[in-house]
Amino acid sequence: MQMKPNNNKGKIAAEKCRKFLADKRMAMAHIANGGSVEELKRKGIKVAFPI
Amino acid sequence: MHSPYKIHTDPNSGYTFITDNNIKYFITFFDRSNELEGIENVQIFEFSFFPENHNHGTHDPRVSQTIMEAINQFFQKESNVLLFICDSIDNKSLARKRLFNKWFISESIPQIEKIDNDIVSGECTYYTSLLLNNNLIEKEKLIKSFSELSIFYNSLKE
Repeated sequence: MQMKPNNNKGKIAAEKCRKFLADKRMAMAHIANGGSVEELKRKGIKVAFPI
Repeated sequence: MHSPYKIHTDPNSGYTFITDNNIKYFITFFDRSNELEGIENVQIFEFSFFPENHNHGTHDPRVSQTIMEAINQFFQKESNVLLFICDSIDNKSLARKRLFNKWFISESIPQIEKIDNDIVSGECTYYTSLLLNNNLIEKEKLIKSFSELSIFYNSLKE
């Protein structure tokens, strides 16, 4: 399935994907450099332990 | 027949495992429940995995087995829902989508359904997948919300 965000809702979906990827990249760099999940939480990124 | 590597809980990153070639992998889940369209009684997590120093090393089939084992364990809780967005930073997002699809097919997890949704925005396509338990009561509602993209825009709610 492919959705073309040619309306505001589609643009928001793409914007949210961009935001999630930016969060993920920041978290990856942070974790790889030995940063803590508490510091990420203060930046609004919540690492979870669901397993 | 290979077996998955042992997965360790790491309070500083989520989960880790170390391969025979001494490459450390991180498996991280992000809680997105409050950032997506609210559906009661489920928790939505985004999933990521990466090797330390971005060093993948040589092909190791146990890596994919271990990542799929982590996903399998994740779905032991039936109400968990997994969102996966392929990173596009190096223009390899389509390759990541194909690789994840291959893993999902070869390491099939019983009772888990995977729904794909490609979101095209200008030059960029975001390859997204939602994985959820077939027995989830909210399954149809969630699939509809994901397919219509409405899962992404709770910020439009009045």
